Amino acid sequence: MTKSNTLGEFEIIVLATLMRLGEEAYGNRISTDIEGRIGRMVSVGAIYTTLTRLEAKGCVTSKLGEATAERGGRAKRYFRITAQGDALLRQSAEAFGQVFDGIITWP
Amino acid sequence: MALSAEPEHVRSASPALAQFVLKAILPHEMAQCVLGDFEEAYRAKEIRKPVSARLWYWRQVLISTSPFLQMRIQTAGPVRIGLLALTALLGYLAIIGWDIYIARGGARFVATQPDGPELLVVRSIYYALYFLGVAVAGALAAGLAFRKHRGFWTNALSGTGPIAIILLFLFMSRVIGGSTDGLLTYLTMRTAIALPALLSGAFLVVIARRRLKL
Repeated sequence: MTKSNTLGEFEIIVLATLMRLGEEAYGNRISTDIEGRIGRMVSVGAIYTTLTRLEAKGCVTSKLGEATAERGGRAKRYFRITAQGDALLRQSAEAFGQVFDGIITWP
Repeated sequence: MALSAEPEHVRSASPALAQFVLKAILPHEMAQCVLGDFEEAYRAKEIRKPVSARLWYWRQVLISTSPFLQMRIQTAGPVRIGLLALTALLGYLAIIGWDIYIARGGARFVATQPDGPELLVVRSIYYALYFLGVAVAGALAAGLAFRKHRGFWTNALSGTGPIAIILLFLFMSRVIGGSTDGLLTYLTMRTAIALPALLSGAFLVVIARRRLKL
């Protein structure tokens, strides 16, 4: 694995969240979901910088959604995991599985 | 992220100054999405606890801007960082030179004025000119530093460069200001005055950039 096709810890968390949320993955929703699961406050800024990096790697795509009054007239940006991102995420999960093999029993 | 959304004219409820800070630091196309996310969460919190909602918003702005600044520095590349550091150094020396050979003459003139209302006016003009000069120097140095990236004037009128320059100046003032001897003390004191001036210059050019849609 070269540096460009490996994923960091937070990148893995964000990609897994995108997979879980499907069509509804945008900044706030991603942040809330991650906070609920790992019990740690995650800034929207950290999520967007990670998504920008993942987009540059070809792991996610984004598109603008509807602008609403609740958002001060600003549009949501929806993110989706690409086939490349999906493959890389599975590859990372597999690598983690091998690292923890015999140490941790997954529920 | 190539696309950007122009906001509709819907009144925003969140703190205007915090929004301004975000717009100044974040890339334009990203700022709209982040501001939208913050606005959405803020409105939900504001209904229950208005004061804590404002505190929450400011906290979000502070913790969200640092990853962007970090990303910009990381993606800048060694050549651009080197150019920026060199330009900051040259800018700093230019300001010091300007201060020693021109403004110090002004300072002597101020010192020879008799006490009274006139002295206050003369001092105000002197410091206003000093402030303006440093602010302009900071903006131009920033433009030069990022010249190859996007174009001189776009950079000079953007918040990115001046903010980076300010951070470098802050670092340099700490390094240089380690001693309390003569010239070093003078340089440190002048840097301390230059920093808010540079900051003001940076924010003013950000406003100009937004208004002129540069």
